[in-house]
Amino acid sequence: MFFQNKKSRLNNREINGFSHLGENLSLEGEIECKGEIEIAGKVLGNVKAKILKVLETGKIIGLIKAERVEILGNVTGNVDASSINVGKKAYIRGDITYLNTISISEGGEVHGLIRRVSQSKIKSADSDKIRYIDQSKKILNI
Amino acid sequence: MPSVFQKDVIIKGKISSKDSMTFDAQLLGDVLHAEEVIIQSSGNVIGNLNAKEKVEISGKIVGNIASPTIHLNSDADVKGKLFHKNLSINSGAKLEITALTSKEIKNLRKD
Repeated sequence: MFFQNKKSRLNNREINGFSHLGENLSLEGEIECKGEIEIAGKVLGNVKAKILKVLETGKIIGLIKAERVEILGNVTGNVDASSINVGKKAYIRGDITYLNTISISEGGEVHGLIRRVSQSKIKSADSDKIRYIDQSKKILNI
Repeated sequence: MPSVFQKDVIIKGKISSKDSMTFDAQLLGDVLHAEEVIIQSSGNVIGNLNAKEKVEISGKIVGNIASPTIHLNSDADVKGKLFHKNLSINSGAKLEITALTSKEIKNLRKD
């Protein structure tokens, strides 16, 4: 298997391959991944990743936040990503917010609002938050 | 197909599976059901593990383990109670455990 060469990998401090959540697995909780993750099982909770792939047997009930998302399975919840790929057997119930690109194959089902946001909007929203935090700090004299 | 969680993953919550699971990741929560659980050397678990066949640990765990076969490798760092039929430990493992050998392994999960 691909996780054997353990010692050499530890020396390199690099990750070979990506994480895989198997078909018969079900998780009740959150996942956070800094790299790539593939989901073929069932997740009840939010998923945050850099590259996310929901396979045909995969099912997510929760929010998705990722840089790149490929959905071939079943998603209930809002999707937030910079580029989104929806496969032909996919089923999404929830709003999709994307930054750069979206593609939906023929047959893919999406029930919800699909919206493109510009980067400036996200940045301004973030800076608003920072301003708000600064103000609240001033008020509290931290 | 067995599940693999690499170093860059953090999981919070309960997991159950019919297959084997390999963790090189951080897990905050319990493994309720599994065939086999392998914690690799970068793995870090805070929670209980239940396995039908085997648990193999090279990483760090704080929590109880119930499995017919438990193997602790030399890199293992374990704190908790172990319920097992067969237990094997390699020299070098850091342990703070209570080990209980029994004929039947009960699931630690309280319904």
